[in-house]
Amino acid sequence: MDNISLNVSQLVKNIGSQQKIGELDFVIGKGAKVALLGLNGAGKSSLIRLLVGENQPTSGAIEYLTSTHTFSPTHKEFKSSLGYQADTMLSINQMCVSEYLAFCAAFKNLAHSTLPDEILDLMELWGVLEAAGTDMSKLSKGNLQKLAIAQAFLGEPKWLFFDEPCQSLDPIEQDRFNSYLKRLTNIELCVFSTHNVQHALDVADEIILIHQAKIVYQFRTKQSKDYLLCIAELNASLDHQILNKGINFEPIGYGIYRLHQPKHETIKLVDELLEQSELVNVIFLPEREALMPLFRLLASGEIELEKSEIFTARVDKEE
Amino acid sequence: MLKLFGFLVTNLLRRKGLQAVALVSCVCVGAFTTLSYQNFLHLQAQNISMLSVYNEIVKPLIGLVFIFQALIVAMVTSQLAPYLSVRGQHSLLLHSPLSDFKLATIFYLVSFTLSLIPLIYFCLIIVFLSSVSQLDSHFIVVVVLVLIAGAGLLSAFLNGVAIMLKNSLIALIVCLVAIGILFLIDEMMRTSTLFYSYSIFLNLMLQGREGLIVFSSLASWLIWLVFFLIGFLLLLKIKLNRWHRKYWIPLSGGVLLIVLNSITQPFSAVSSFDVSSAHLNSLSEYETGQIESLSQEINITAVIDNTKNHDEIKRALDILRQYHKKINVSFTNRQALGEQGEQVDQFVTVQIGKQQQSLRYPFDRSAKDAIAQLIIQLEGRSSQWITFIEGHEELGPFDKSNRGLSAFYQSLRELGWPVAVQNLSKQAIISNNTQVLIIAASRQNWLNQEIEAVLSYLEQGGNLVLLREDGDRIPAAINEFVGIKTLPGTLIDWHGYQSGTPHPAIVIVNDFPQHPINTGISSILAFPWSKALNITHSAGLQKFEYQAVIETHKGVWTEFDVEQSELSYDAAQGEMQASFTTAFALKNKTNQQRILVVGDSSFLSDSAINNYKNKQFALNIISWLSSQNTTDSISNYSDSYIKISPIVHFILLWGFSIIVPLGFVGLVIVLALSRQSFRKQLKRSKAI
Repeated sequence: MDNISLNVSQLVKNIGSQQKIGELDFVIGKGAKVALLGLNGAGKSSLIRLLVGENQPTSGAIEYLTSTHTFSPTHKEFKSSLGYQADTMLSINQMCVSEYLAFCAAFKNLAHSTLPDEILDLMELWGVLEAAGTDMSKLSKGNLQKLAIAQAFLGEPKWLFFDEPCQSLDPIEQDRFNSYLKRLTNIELCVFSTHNVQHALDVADEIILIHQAKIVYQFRTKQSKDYLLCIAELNASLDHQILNKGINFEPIGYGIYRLHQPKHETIKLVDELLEQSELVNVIFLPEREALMPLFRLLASGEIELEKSEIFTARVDKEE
Repeated sequence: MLKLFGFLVTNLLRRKGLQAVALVSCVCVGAFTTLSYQNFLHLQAQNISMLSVYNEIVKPLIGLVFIFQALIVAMVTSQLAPYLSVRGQHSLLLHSPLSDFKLATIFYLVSFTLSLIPLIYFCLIIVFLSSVSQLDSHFIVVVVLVLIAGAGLLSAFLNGVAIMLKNSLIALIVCLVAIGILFLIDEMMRTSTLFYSYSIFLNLMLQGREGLIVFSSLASWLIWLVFFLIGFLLLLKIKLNRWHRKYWIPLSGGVLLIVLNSITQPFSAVSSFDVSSAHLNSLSEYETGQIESLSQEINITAVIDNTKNHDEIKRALDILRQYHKKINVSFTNRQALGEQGEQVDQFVTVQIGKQQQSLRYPFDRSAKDAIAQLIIQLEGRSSQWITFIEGHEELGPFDKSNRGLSAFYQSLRELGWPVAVQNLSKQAIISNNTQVLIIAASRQNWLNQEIEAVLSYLEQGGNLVLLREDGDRIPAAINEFVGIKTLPGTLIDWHGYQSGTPHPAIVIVNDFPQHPINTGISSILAFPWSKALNITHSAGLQKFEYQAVIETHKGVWTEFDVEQSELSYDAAQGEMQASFTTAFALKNKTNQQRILVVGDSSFLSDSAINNYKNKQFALNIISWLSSQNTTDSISNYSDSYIKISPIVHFILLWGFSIIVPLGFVGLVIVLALSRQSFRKQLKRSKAI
C-alpha cells in the first residue's frame, strides 16, 4: 500500500435511473500521471467529479493515501493541496486575469508573501501575462482555458485533476501543457481526461480507458511489453482455437485479454490463429498500439459490454 | 478569509446591477426625504401640535431603507453561490479548504456589508438633520441598530435560500419571493394573538421605530437569526457535500430554539426599555403611580375603521401593560355599530368597573398619553366629585325646568362622575375631594361665609366653572379672583338670526381657537343670551394664563335693551360691535389650578344642551378641568423644528435626492476610469 496514492473500490454513481459510473475498482501508484480516455459520454468527467468530491458517489469509496494519512475527497487536508480544472469555466464579470488568480488564491486560502510572484509566474508560464489586466469576459476561449489551468497550479498542489485541459487550446499550447505535465514532479497524483490518445501515451504513466461508465482497460504506458487481445464477436470455436492452446491470456473482461510479455513465437501463433478464424472485429496488438483500434471498436458499438461480460464469464467457467 | 471577503465585496460593487440598485436606493431615500421635508414645512405652517422631525421625516424613511436593504441582500446573495455555479466556478467554492463556517461567515458578511449602503445614506441624512434639529440621539441609534438587525436577519435568511440555487436570475426571483413570504408570515404572526410572540422582525422594527426596545421581540429576532444562520450553515454543508448525520443535532437545536422562544415569550412579553429621551414609550412618575395603583381590570374598545391603525393602539397598550397587566382590548369598526356608527367619529372607550369614557380617534397626542390620561381620569372619578353650588337660584342638576341642568347631570353620571350639590349657607366648607366646582349663574346675593368658603377653595388650587348671565349676582371677590368681568349688554348675533336661529340673542360660534376644550367640535355652538367677557387689570393677570376659548364673529354687538321689539346696534348708547370672547380658560401659573369662565349659562341648560355641539363642549370643559394632573406630562418632542437657512433648505430639497447621488455616480465613473487606466498601464508594462 505504500506506493498507492489512490484507491477506488466499488465506486458507483447513479443519477436517477441512469448509471454514470458503474462499480469501478482501481488503484493508482504514488506520483502517477493518469490519463482518462474514452468516447464522449463514457464517464470521464463524472469520474473526475467523483474523485475531487464535487459529486458524492451512490456507493463505494475513494481513498487518497499519503505516507502518513488517508483522506476522503471532502477532507480539508486533501482540499488544501488540490488543483482542479473543471471543464465548465466561464468568465466572472468585472474581474481581470490577475484579479481572478488572486481571487482563486483567496478561495484556496493562500496568503503567503510570495503569492503575487507566484501569480505572475503562473501567468507567464501559461501565456496569459499579456492579458493580465484584461477583463475575463474579453478573453478568448483558449485564454480562458489557460487561465483555468493556471489557477489549478496555484499553491503548488499535490493532487492535480484536469478535465479535458487541452480543449480550446491551440497545438502549441497543447504541447506546452503536455510537456509541462511530463516534467511535473513532486506530486502525489495527476489525473487528466483527454481525447488525444497520442498525448495520453506521451504524458501519462498510466492510462484508464472508460466506456459506458466502466473501465474497459487500464495499463501502464512506460516499458509496456504486454499485448492486448480483443475479440468482439462471440465465437465458440475460437475459444478452443486460441484460449485452449496453452497461451497465458489474462481475461480483463468485455472480450479483452492481456498477454503478458509474449514471446515472438506466441505472437506469431496467435496471429495465425486469428487469421484462420477469419474474424473481422478482433485486435491483437501491443497495448500502446492497440488503443486507437480499440477506440474504433468501441465507437462502432461492436463491443457491447453487457454481452461481453457474458462471454467473459463463459471463458472463465471453461478455464 | 479577509482577502476573499474583500474580493467579493469589491467585485460585487463593480457590477452595474448592484450599482444601479444602490444608486436608486440613494435617490429614493433622498427624494423621500425631500417630500417629507416639504410636508413638514406644510404642517409647521399650519401650526400643528406635536410636530416632530423624527416623526415626519425620519420615520417614513425607515421602511424605505429596509426595503432597499432587502433588495440589495437579495441581489448580493443571488450573485454569490448561484452566480459561481452558473459561471462554472462552483468548484472554487466546493474545493476551498476554508471551513464551512468560514465560508458561511464570508458570504453572510458580504451580503450584510453591502446591504448597509442604503443605511449609510440614511445615516448621512440623519447626521445632517441632527445638525439642524434636536433629534433624539438615543432614538436614532436604536433605529440604526434595528435596521442593522434587519439586514443581519435577511442576510442569514436569503443566503440560506440562495445557496442551493444554480442560476443567479432564478435565485434573485426566488429570494424576492422568499422575502415576500417571510414578511407575510411575519405580519400574520404579528397580528395574531396566538403567534404574536413568534414575530420574526416586524415587531422589533416597529417598536424600535417608536424608540422602544421590547426584550421579547429582541429575543424573538435573535432566535430567528440563529435559526436562519444554522439553516444557512447546514445548507452550505449539503451544497459542499460535507453533510453528515451529526448535523441533524444543530438543526434540531435550531427548531428547539424556536420552541423555546414560544415558551419563554409569555414571561418576557412586557419587559421593555424606553430609549427616547422624552419618555415617549413610558409613563411619567405620576402616571406610573396612578396606573400601578389600579386594581381593577381595564377594558378598552377601539372603534377604528382602518385595521392598520390598530397597531398604534396595540403599541400604546404594550407600554401600559408594563404598569398594569390587566388591560384587555377589542377592536371593531363603525360599520359593526350599525346606524349608530354612521353618525359618530372613530373613538376609543376605556372601561374600568362600571365607569367608562370615550375619546375621539385619531388622538391629538400619542396614543399612549391619550389612553393613560383617560385611565387616570376614570380612576380619579370614583373619589373626585363634581360639585354644583346651590342656594342662590343657580342652575341646578336636579332642576327639571328648562333652566335645569338635568341632561348635563345625566351625562356626567353616565361617564362615572359622582355629582354633588352643595349649599354653602348650611355647610361653609368645600370638600377636598371636589374635582370641579360649578357656579352656574347665581341670582341671589351670597353670604360672606359662602364667599370665603369658595375663595378658600380657590386659594387652595381648586378648579372652577363659572357661568355668567345678565344680571347675575356672582360675588365681586370671586370675580376679582378670576380677574374677568362681563361687559354690559347681551350679545346679539343678527347674522345667526338671519341664518335661522329663533332669536337674535342666540350667538352662533363656528370658529374655534385651538384649545383642548374645543377638541372634536367641528360644527357650531349656540350661546343664548350670553355676555361678553373681558380680563380685568387685577391680581389675576399675575396669577393666571388666560386663553380665549370661544370668540364670536365681528358682527356681534352688545345690546343694552334686548327686550325691545326691533334690535339694532346703537353705538351712540355705548354699545360695541366686535369679536367678543364669551369663554376664557385660565391656568394657574404656579399650580395646576384651572378655571373656566363662560359668559353664558343657558348653553348647558336642558333647553339648549342638545343643540349643535353644546353637549360635547360641556363635557370637554369637565374633561379639561379634571385632567390637570396628566396633561402636563404629555410627552413633548424636542425635534419640533428645523433651523432653516437657505443652505439647509437647498440641501434638503436637492442635496440628498439629486446632488449627492450624482456625486456618487461621478465617483463610480472616476474609479472605473482609474481602474481602466491602471489595466492599460499593466498591459503596457508587461509588453515592455
